[in-house]
Amino acid sequence: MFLEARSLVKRYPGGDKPALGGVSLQVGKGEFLAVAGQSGSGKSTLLGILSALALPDSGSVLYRGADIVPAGEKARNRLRARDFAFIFQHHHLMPYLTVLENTLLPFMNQIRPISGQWKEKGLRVLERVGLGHKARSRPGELSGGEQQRVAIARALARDASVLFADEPTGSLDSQTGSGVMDLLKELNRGGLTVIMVTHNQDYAALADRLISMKDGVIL
Amino acid sequence: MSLLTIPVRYLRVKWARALLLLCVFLLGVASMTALEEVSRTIGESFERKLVSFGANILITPRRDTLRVSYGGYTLGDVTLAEHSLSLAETMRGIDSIALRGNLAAIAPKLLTTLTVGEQTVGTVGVVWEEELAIKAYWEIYGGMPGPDSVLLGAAAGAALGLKEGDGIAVGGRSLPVAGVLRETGSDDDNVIFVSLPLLQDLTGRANEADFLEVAALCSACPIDDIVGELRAALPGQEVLALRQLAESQMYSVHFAQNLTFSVSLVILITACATVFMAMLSAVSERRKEIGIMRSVGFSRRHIFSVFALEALLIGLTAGALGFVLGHIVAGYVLENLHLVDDLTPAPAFRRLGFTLTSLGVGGLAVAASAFPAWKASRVEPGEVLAM
Repeated sequence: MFLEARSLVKRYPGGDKPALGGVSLQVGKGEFLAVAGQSGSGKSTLLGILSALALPDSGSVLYRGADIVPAGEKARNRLRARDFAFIFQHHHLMPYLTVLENTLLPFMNQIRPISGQWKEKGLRVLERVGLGHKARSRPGELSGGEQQRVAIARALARDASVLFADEPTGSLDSQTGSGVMDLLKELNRGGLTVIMVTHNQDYAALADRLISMKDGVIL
Repeated sequence: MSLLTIPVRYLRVKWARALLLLCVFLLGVASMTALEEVSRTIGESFERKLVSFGANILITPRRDTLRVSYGGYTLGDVTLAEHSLSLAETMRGIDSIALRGNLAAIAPKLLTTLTVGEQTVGTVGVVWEEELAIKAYWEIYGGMPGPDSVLLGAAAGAALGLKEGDGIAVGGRSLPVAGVLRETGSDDDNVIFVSLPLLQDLTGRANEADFLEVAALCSACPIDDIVGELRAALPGQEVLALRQLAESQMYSVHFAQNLTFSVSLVILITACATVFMAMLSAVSERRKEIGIMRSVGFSRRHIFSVFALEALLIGLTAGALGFVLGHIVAGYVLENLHLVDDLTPAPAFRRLGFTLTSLGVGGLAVAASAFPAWKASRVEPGEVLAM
């Protein structure tokens, strides 16, 4: 299995019930999975653990057959740098970097300047998401939909295998949200595995598979 | 585009905050540089003035002595042989030492007694220029003595009934009295001074001296180093450090330098504390940014580097600009307080000092930001990105 969660349990300090109460899940390569549920159902916690941004209290997450939970900080960093990409409800772009720099942020962790080849690729993916002309703009100069597309371009620039999307349309109007969803669907058709958390039933229906969560368990 | 782009862009956008930090460090470095240069120049000037109030090294011919005692009764020391001191040879030896530049004045002396009229009086042959360099406290009634004139000590002049302008018959030669010393309270009151070549001629002791007084500048090196070199260069002579005098002179010079160091240290600690607090608050404000960087694969080391580079950029800039500003201020202060002259010139711009200061302040800024940067590196992306 491409990505698999086994009996994930997660408790937050002070919480009387677990955020995840033994969740198991399998995701195939190139699948578009939507995770729906009310606020507090545990869907974002599940996404965080699947994407190696957070660790469960118990259980395991297997990516291409290897458990990423005990793999250590370095291995999880490598996954986030190469294989996993994220888009968030509030886009989370670096406000003082340009659109192109935000797109190429995953490669900017070395003192050595990144090559022109990567810059060209950054510009290409920005063209693909319709923002080639805004490469030198700052996130504050873009609309909400454009900012979200920069976050998607950031995922595309490094050829990630899995895109984790946490309410990607949550802060957008319906027209802009539809545009972002069309883009996600198109990328999925190109082979990108997408795991998306959403409230929106219409957008969830665009996925290959929909799972619903309540009180930390999959219904 | 590189890791450096992130702190550079951040500092550019948050220019007011960056400027504040830069100013704190810059003013600190400028104050330290100015204080150091002013105190060093004043110290050198002060030391030159101090040596004019007395020599701190004595060079005498070696004496072979034998203590005479019998049955617990001591008769004292008997001099078996007293070596003469060849002036030319001694001066060659002195000139050969590596620390020659630290010797501000070398005043040779020849002692004898001469009969003036019916009285016998102690006479000292000196090199006027060198003698006046180590006895700036002399006050002379009359004119400055020359190669063929006499300077009288206060008591000697009174005993001989002579004053400036009188003539004096010494060794069959008539010499004019150029001046009389005001009372000094020292041995100088009881003798008469003539030029060394004249006394060597009168006594038939050409190229000889009885001892040399040396005024050494000891702020750059301990007096023991100078004495050690002199002893090695003058094996036939005794070289004695007048330690108490040298140490009291050095205490005065080092006091100003220690005071400067203490003030600099306080300034430095204040600047570091400001950077520490500013970086700590920046880490709290930028938790989301840290989360974004961590989510795209930045390791803890990378996050630490981003914050450390920010501090390094501020430190390097403040160090470089602060050193230049401090140097300019020091020159201005010294010029306006009339503390520079031919002997004590205004401090030159030191490239090594500039480089070391810039790097040192850069390093210090990184050290001050180490804890905030470490704290930033511990931010967990899952906690701050609200997933």
